[in-house]
Amino acid sequence: MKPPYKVLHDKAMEFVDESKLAKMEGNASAAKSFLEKAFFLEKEAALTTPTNENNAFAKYLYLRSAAYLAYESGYLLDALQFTLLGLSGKPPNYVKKQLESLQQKLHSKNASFQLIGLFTQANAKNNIITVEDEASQQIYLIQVPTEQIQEIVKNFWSAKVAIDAKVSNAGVVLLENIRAAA
Amino acid sequence: MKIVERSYIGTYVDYILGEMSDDDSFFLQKAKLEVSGIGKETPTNTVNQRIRVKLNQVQKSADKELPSYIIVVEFGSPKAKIVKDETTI
Repeated sequence: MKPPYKVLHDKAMEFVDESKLAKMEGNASAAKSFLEKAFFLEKEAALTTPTNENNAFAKYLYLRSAAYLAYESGYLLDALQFTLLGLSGKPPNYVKKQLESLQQKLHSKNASFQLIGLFTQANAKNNIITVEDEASQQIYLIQVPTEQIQEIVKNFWSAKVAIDAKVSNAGVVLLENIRAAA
Repeated sequence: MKIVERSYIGTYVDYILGEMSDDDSFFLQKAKLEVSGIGKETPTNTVNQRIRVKLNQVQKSADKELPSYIIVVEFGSPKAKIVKDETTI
């Protein structure tokens, strides 16, 4: 019987097929939507696949697949995080090369991104704020400069904010600019 | 040996050949499979030429951990050709 993560992965690949068909039919928005669905399923598959001897190879394939799907769907932070997750272990050499190639592409894009969402939490000890992106409902942990955290909390607490951020080589999201969202 | 896994990598799909465990819960990987297609063969775009291109790609990226097979399908006739990369097998 297929384990749940394999079911998720197979379903993700079905959405990839649907995306390709939609693209061939000239329906770009459907193609994008299917690819995003594939990414979210693959993300769950990759994160829930157990790390053991039997599944190690599949787990790296799923991590790479999730990284590329994130990249193609425009989720650059996720793409970088899945890339780093894959590279942090011992992937097969050809998977490693492909992950490194994606990492280079991401760095050449400077892995900058913008998000708009609700500023929900702050951790003054570690200088981290938490923002929930309204488009994807994903939670982002963003490192802010020590001298700015108090002012950020004072000005934007519980407000909808627009953020410009950059991802460091280590996968940490660094705040570049924060302002109240319109 | 059969296709036990496929995964997404940008513009193409990575196929893995191998064997499934008895309970279908995991697989044992044995080879990679590269699949390519041609609509209709022309003098400048033949199955054999495509095979050579794919072999070249496979050998450049080969990690020697997994052997590779290449299939090129021509949909005009239709016909297909399968080769194994001798440098990795």
